[in-house]
Amino acid sequence: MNSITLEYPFEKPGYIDSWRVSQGDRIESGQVLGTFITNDKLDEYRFISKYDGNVKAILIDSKSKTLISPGDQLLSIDYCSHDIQFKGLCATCGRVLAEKENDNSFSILHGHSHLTVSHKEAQRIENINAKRLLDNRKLSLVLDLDHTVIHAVTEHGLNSVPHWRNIDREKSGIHNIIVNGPMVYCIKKRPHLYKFLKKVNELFELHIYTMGTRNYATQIAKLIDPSQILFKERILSRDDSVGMNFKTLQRLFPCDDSMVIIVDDRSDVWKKSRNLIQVSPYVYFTDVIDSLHHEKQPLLLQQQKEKEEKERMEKDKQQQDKEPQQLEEDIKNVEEEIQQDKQETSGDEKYDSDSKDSQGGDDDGHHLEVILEKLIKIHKLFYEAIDRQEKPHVANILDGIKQELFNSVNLVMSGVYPLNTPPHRQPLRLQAEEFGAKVQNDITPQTTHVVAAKKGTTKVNRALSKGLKVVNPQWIVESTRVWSKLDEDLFPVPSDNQDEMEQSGNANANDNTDTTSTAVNESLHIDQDALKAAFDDIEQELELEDGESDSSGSSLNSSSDENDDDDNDKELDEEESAGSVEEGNKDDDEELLSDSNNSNSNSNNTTNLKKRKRAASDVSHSSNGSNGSSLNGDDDNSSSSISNIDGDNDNDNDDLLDDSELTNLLEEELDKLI
Amino acid sequence: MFFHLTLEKDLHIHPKHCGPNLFSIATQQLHSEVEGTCSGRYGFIITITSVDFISKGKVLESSGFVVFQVRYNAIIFKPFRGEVLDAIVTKVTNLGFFAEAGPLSIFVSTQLIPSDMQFDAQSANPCFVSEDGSTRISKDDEVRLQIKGTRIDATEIFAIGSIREDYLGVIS
Repeated sequence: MNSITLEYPFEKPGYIDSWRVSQGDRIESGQVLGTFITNDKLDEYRFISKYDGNVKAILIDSKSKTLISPGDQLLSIDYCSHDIQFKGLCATCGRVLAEKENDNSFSILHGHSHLTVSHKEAQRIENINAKRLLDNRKLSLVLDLDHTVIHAVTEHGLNSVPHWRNIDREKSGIHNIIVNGPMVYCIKKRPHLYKFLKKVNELFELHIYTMGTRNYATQIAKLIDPSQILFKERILSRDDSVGMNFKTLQRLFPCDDSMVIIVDDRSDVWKKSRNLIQVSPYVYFTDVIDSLHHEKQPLLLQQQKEKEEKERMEKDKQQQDKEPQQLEEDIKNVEEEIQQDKQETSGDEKYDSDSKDSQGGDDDGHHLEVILEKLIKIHKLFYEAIDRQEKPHVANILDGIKQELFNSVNLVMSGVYPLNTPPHRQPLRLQAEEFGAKVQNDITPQTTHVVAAKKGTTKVNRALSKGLKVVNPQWIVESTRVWSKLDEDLFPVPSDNQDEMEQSGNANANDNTDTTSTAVNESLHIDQDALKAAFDDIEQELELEDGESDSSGSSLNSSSDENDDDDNDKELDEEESAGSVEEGNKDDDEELLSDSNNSNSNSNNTTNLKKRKRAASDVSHSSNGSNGSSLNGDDDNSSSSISNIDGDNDNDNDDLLDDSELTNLLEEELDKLI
Repeated sequence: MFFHLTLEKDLHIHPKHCGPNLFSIATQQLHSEVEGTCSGRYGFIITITSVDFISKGKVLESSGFVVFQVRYNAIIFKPFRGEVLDAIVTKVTNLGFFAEAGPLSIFVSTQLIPSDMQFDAQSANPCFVSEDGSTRISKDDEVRLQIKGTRIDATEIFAIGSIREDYLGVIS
């Protein structure tokens, strides 16, 4: 309860008429406390309370005839600021509060969303918490469950896949939990989970924040922490959360997130919170349709899958080599199978039997250990700063640690995104920058790496000639995933179907760009053969100029007729391979475009013709002195036009269409088809 | 506070029950439909003590159900501000603790807990401990508290409690 002395609130001085309350009375906001009459006796004022509370003392007697002027003290009251509310009741004074008063209140308790506190109170509680954490030299860690520390699927889903139905669950460390009646979930803990949690618990106060239901969350918590020493009551589930589609630190730490680290496999639900350490999603039950599964960034997912596929194959091979050595330490001359079983059963609480994990399609490796290492580092840096009497923020420290990874890396991207893609639409670029790489638009003396989707682009060739490292985009994804700069040689750029000769030929052609483009310029108005040649040149140029050959490249191949021209054939091959590499990278709208391309090219030629015209315009552009980059933005059109080069060519002098018209046309065509 | 009241209710009986055991079935159904419910007007209906009167049944033409007017006596529990209750602690948090007195859930905030009692976040079992460590409030403890305020919905009642008065707190 706070005390306050109320003063005469009106402008005109007046006399007291009567008090409506007496000492000790309970007063509500909006209640009339007393009435006053102005000294000219014209007006009567009603003195209305703004506070809920009790009257402590009445300072002016109702019978007094003295004139009261503004600012004179009338009443002293105790009032309640309703800092804590429980289901619409003030937890301090017990008053029922109108709903509208709950506006700026926060619920900060894990399990009780109906218990809310005011901002002031939240701050007070947070300060207490922060002090406690500082005293214990701890930080807060918010952990996600699904795909971060465990992988869960429904039993039904598991049984629908033959491979999993037959597996011995107990032996594989799969746990069953029953959540809602008939629903049974099969849970697999991430390798090294216990080690991770144990270590982390020494430095962090652990919270669970999951999008699962409360029941599910508590069951999982019970499973991974049977003694309830790690999480205690600090479990936040969907039932207590503010929204179904996103998570926010505000829910738990409304005022201050400077001591909170999040570990989650998704960054989108956190709206790119700077406190987030994104882990690679843990997927143990491969091929099982996952009702809990969620969409991920398409790019990452695509690449991840491809990568996982590869890694699994590699790992299987490695496994065969590695296992016997490991096992020799323990037992000799026993069959591999039996040894594995023994390892698993004697694996006590660690669950880090690699052999088993990889069998189940888990290439997770030591990911949690990597994360652990970073967490320890953050903790160390944070408290070092505290010791220096600074006010550190974990997000800054985290940024710093991330930046270290690619600190000395100067990247140039080649053929990864279309050239006119704005930087914020290039997830890989953002990811690289987040981890400290400097992304440049063109090769400079500082450049260290070229990230390329395919070989044969100008940048790649220049990089190779300069001896720079050329890697495929997966290098960024994987390196950031494991937080170490991986060996560049492991991420070779996929080569085209052509041999080295072709490429060197292309490189040579690069030198002739100027002459060819002038040739193109002339050819525009001449004849069919010249036009063909021109398109060849464009295409070469595109190859060289780091063109993101759009997905239409792949679609055009399927629709293209037999092509007499040898060069064209080869070029198309190139296009196809490049296109398929890019398949995973395309944006949604690009996808749409390619779809429409596909159907259009099959059904009629009109759009392709338009595109060809467009391509012709590009040629004139490039030959008129503008540099290659302006051309590259449009290369999808020009390259797709090549497929129809054997169609009618008499329209080459037609008016040029601009991009918007083209898309409109495409959409119309698409509509017709549908 | 407890009351012994006479209440009335329209009871809908399924036609399949219209037989020799009709009245015992109706009484059973009354018990299951009424006991344990909460009405904002009267409070929690704890138990039915007797059934005074069952009217002649009326068949509903549309469904075939039979409607009986029933008058019964029941023990009602309704909390009031200022009332002192014994309750069992169900959950302790840093903002206060939750307790239950029968069907009623009560929240006691830190401001209404004696100021010498502090929340102990360190211990395995969250609790409030007095400075000298002699008193401790944790889950499943019995406390005597005073109701500071109630909120009565159509179907639910919540209350705010206080142990910041003389003779309130843990009962040992």
